[in-house]
Amino acid sequence: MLDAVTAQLDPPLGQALRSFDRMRRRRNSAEYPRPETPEITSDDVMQDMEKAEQFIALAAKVLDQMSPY
Amino acid sequence: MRELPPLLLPLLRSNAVGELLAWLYLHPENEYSTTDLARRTGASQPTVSREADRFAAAGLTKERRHGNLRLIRADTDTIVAKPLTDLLAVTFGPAAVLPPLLQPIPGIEEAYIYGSWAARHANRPGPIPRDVDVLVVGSADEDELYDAAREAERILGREVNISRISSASWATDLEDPFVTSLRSKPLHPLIQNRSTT
Repeated sequence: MLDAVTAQLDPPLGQALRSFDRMRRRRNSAEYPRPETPEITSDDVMQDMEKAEQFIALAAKVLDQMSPY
Repeated sequence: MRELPPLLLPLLRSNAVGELLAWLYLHPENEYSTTDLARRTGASQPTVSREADRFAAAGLTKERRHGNLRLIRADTDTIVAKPLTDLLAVTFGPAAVLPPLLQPIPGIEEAYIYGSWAARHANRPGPIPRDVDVLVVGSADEDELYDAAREAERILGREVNISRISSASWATDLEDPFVTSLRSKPLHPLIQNRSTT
């Protein structure tokens, strides 16, 4: 799904979703924490909040214009 | 004292042989001086020269002279080149592939491999490592680290996880179970004491 959306946006907006997959994996690992990974800090969250807000803004912008196929 | 055979690939004589071959075969486009290889692998200059003699005698490497420098590269035009490259990628590969991927990323003060790969590299027995765990200390951008991890996975053929912690947590956080656990186990340095200012 991510690949399909990125392909539709790229160019010029594909890079806008660059962090999405990383955040998705991070969320998964937060649900099943392993002792070998560091805890998520508030700084990590604050930095990614900005990027998450950009995803939402992008979605709001393109949703009306993007056909299913 | 005679060095034990490496547990990452006990058919080699030493970690130094594995790391030298990994640098040469996983960067076949590059040629390296013996000084350069010593710096990258942490092996002594005499060890590098001696092993380089053996590689050349076995037809594994090509060499040329540039002034006083002896420049060495992998000979990829042999029947063993492909399987040897593949074998090195899944054994000593992380030591040679990760540093050049991490070096250009700003904000990395230190970087280490930890977990099962680092344990096996330190000759602690156990099963073949399933993945490669990397710790980055500093303020590097998470997305750049993520891209480097995916590129490393492509070359190394196994999962690469890069975790970032701040230099303050690494230096002082003795309460953090992650930090205390890491400090008590083998760490293989990739980048050390780099000032980011």
